[in-house]
Amino acid sequence: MIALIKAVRQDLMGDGVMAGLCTGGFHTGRAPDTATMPYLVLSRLNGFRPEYYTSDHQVEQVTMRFQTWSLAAETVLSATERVEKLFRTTWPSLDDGTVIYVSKESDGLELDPDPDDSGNDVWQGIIDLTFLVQRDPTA
Amino acid sequence: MAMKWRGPEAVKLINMEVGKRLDAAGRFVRDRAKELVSRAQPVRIYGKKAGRSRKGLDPSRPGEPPKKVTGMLRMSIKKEFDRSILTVRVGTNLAYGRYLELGTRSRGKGKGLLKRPWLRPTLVNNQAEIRARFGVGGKV
Repeated sequence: MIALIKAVRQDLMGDGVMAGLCTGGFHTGRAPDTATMPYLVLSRLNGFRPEYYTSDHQVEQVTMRFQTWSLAAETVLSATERVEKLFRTTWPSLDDGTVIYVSKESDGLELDPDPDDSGNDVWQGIIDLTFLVQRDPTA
Repeated sequence: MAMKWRGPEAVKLINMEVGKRLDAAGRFVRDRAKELVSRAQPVRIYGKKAGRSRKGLDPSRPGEPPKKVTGMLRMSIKKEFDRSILTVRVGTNLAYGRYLELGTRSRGKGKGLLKRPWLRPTLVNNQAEIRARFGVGGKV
């Protein structure tokens, strides 16, 4: 599902509000050690199987986790809300398939166990979105 | 023939059955989660008071469920069932259980904890069994 990750990343980078909130950039998998907050980390999770038989229709369910890190809880909350709004209202367009539904699996706000170098609290916002993707049989 | 509406009794019976199955599913998930964090590893014990400080010598790799060091996480995994809203929750009250599940921030020079999820894989890997506990004839 590389196409989906690419499309999601592109949509995040193309969104002015997200770019303003995550000035430290968008990273996949894990942020580099040099990343400056606030930033967003995008990763794919092992997904739940769809509750219905879908293989005839080439439908897959992919869950992606969006983790935002910031010194300000408000930034983290705003970014989490923005991610939800961004992907639940406008579904990403893919080269090799079609997103046919996006749902929220969970979200949350956590305090990181380690403060930053100056001793400030670091917040982590999490939102897991599940994308239902129908692959293009001709792709 | 007179007919009598027994809606509330029916709802009560259905809720009782759903509750029973939900509770059973919660117990099942709790037990599988405990299993997942039970992989052993050699442990070195530090300090004068034996058992006070332990270090795992063969820790899990990032992305894998954590291996056991003290057994505290395993012991802390609990199931809570709320009959009034028909909800079952499985988890831990230990903060590091959450850090292992979600990972923590990169802090340079290899600091920070890479995630070692144990709760979500329990759900993902046991979907069929969990659903079976809800289905017709599900084993409670």
